[in-house]
Amino acid sequence: MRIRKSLVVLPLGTALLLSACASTSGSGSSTSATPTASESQATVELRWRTRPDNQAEADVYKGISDQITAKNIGLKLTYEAGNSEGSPYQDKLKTELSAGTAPDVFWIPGTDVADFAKAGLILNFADQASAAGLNPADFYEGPMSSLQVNPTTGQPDTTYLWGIPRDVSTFALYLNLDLIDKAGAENPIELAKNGQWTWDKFQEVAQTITDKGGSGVKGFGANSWWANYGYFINSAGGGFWNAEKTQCTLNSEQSVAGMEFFKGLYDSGVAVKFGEDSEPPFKAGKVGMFMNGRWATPGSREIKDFNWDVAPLPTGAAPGKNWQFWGAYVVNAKTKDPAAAVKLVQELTSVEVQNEISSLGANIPSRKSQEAIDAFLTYTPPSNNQAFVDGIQNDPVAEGPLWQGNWPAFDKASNDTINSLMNDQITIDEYQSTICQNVDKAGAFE
Amino acid sequence: MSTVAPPEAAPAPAAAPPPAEHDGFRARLRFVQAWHLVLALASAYVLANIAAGVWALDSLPRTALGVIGAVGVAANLLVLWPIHRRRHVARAFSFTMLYGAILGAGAVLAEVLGLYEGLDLFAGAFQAAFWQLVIVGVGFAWFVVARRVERRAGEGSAGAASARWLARAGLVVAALGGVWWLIALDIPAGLRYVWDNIAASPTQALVLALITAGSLVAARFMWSPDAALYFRATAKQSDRMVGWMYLSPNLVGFLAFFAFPLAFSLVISFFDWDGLTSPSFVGGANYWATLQDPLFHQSLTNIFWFMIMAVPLSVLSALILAVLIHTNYPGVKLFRAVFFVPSVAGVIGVTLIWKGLFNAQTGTINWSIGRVGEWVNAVLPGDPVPERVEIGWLSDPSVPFGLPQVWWLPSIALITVVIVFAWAQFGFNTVLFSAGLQSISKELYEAAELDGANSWQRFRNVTIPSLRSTTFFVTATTVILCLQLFDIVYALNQPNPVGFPNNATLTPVVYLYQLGFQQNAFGLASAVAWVLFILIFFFTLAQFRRQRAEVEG
Repeated sequence: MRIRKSLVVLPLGTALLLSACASTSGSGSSTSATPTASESQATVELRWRTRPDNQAEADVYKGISDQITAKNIGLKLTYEAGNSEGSPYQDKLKTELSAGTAPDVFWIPGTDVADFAKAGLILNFADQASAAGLNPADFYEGPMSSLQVNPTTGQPDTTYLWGIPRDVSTFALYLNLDLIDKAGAENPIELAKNGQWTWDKFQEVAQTITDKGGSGVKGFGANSWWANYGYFINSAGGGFWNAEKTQCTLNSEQSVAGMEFFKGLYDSGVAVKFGEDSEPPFKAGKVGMFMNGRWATPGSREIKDFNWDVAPLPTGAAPGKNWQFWGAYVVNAKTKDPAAAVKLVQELTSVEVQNEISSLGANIPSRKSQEAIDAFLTYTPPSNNQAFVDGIQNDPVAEGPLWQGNWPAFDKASNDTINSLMNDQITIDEYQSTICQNVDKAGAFE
Repeated sequence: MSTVAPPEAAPAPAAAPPPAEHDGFRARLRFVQAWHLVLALASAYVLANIAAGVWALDSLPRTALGVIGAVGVAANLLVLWPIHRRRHVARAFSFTMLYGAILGAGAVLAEVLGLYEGLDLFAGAFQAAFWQLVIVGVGFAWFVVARRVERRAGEGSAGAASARWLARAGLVVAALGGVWWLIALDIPAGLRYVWDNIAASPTQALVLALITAGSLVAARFMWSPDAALYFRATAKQSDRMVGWMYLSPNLVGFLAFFAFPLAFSLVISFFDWDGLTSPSFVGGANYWATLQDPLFHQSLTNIFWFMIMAVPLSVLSALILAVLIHTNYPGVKLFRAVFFVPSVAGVIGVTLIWKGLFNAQTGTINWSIGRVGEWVNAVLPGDPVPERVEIGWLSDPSVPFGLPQVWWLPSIALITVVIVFAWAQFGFNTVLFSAGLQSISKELYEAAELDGANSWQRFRNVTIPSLRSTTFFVTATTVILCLQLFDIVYALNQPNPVGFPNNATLTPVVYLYQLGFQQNAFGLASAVAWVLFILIFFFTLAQFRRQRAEVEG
């Protein structure tokens, strides 16, 4: 009864491999004639991926994926949760795109859309969307203006549709209400309601909290990436670039005024040191006003030691001008069934799905329907969700790609110069005279 | 290659007579010769399609396939002459090419059949029928144990007869489990999937299958003892072939997953490539741009200062600690384990803890400095020192101690990285030094004691010279780790851009990462990687030479 190992191992290995092949649901789109309970129609197997902000959100996305499959609309889905951190998600996705193994539908940040489209990695699905009844006009104009662009000219063109925004977000000031009370500062929410929430008032409140809040307390905290100082630049009437996004305007008088005010917050000692992560001190009760997006809400909901809420950002020379952050579901150019992939995008951006995700706290629906807004306002805490809605609706500046330039180069060059300014390595005059030179030198608008 | 006959028959020396011609040997030899011609034609087909532009490929895969095609044509034609001349080199040469053809055609065939996608889901399939497989395993184990019992019981005994029945029962259990397993695995669906893929590209699948099978037959013949005899192989030559065959799985893995990416990065360093679209050749422009880039200079300056601080800190502290714990006191082993913990803990995890400790506003380190200030003010007279500090350990790009703010001096943020690195590294170095200390002969210390040497003199004149090899190894590996520094900087910088603040913590690998994954400049990033490789190579070479000179001196 001597058994040759190869006679055992080879059939076992082959059987396992064949079995694995039998379950290649996650191997790209393929069509099989699998009758469903309700109807006999071709079922398309698709993989999709998005970047959840936390495990709870990942679980909800998985649930949504299973629900869509269970609807028997001809889609059999495999959901792949991407990393929650930004960079690893992008690194993995780019590697898979390069190798040709990326999912059929995936989420990317708004700033990456142009690079992906120009490289031919994502599909222009304007025709399929039209056929499916997916109307781009149902979504906020800001993101859509960057998603309906001719990649050759860089100009708006409704015959192109590169993606549909998964959700939107915006900045607000997360308030430590107890600390504000203790310091005897005016409540920013009330000041905003009365139309008095200006930059001067903001600095005054920050100063009061710093002076009277206790040892080691700061009135204001923000992180140091582009959107934080970018808000003050926009709010002063300046901006990163001209209307056509073909020229740097970070050196305009208005932009310089915004940067000067922002730096002044740090120089006067009312802000958490520039470059430090402000979220831990806010959660530790050491910061009165913490500037962050809606994505900070789930973390803030864990705060038990003090009362908190959110207020709108203070108004500068140009009212509104809060950021409208977004990311989009896009369709892999190599998907085998574009129509099915677009159907999936349509499902993922439906009112029901967006509401389900938004109820977790991290996101705001990208559909501009009143129904979506009404539902969003009920997702408390914070009580003052209206601050986010105002930020989204009150003349926001949508983040977006540089269709006629290079966003990573712009980001790196401008960020380096602004860091130099914030760390007193250059003066505000030197900032004004060099920033756009540095941006141009980096090839941001080539 | 498991079906290739093992070389159980030792090849005869050169004087042995050639195999008889009537057994079909000549016919099989002619088949091998013809098969090399077929492979040459297949390679020529690839080359022709590349040259004529029939296959629309990017420049890099086009070049790679072109080279493979040209080499295939030339090698398969060239091997015919030594085969004709019955030279042993022809056997080795031919077998190597056939082995390559099996692997190459087999790999492409697996892609055509969609087997890689199956491999991706292998674990899932295993899980789907896990318990059935357990039954197979239990049945087989039952069979093996029963067989052993049978053997021990002795032939013809009643115990042996019972054990034989038990063994058969075990086999039945394994077989039933196997059948259930096959049903659970849904083999027909897998076969349908493979068949669908074959139906999608039947010609391609057939040609690849024929090349694989034909090469397998030809390789089996060239491996056979008859072929060894015919080609006058010596025992040593045959043994060498066996050795290479044993080595080949590892060698193929090394070539595919190490040497190829290395060579690919070297090739890509001469291209402008975003990692996604077609690359374009730029010659040495990436190297020139790298050497001229102020950010690269900054990264080199940073890593230079980093090494100056981190290497002594993590090596000397480890040496001192190793000497301190090199005793027989109770509990020393526990200390050794505790000091080793940073080396086994996840770098990202511990770095995030350090990040919390270093927070300027709420971090424990600034808080502790404040408490020390309080104590100093309470105890010592004179001007009070600050009782609350906000040192920007993670955010301050300025040079410490009021030194001039020049780009070539290290920043506070870089010193923070040094602290975390040294903490993470010194435990491992301590273990290495401990091992070195244990190898020092006690007689040396006894002799030194007899000569009247005190503790310091024993340490200075016995321990340190005896640890020279260990010190060299620890220093060399720490230097290399310094030059490869990435993960700590990456984790400490979150949520700021890597290299923050103001490129004060920009290291060559961080710079490489920025270029490759954030700016999609993979050609430039590859050039940086090779410049870094050359730096590490020469640094290590210099250390080796110095070490050798010391030993010889």
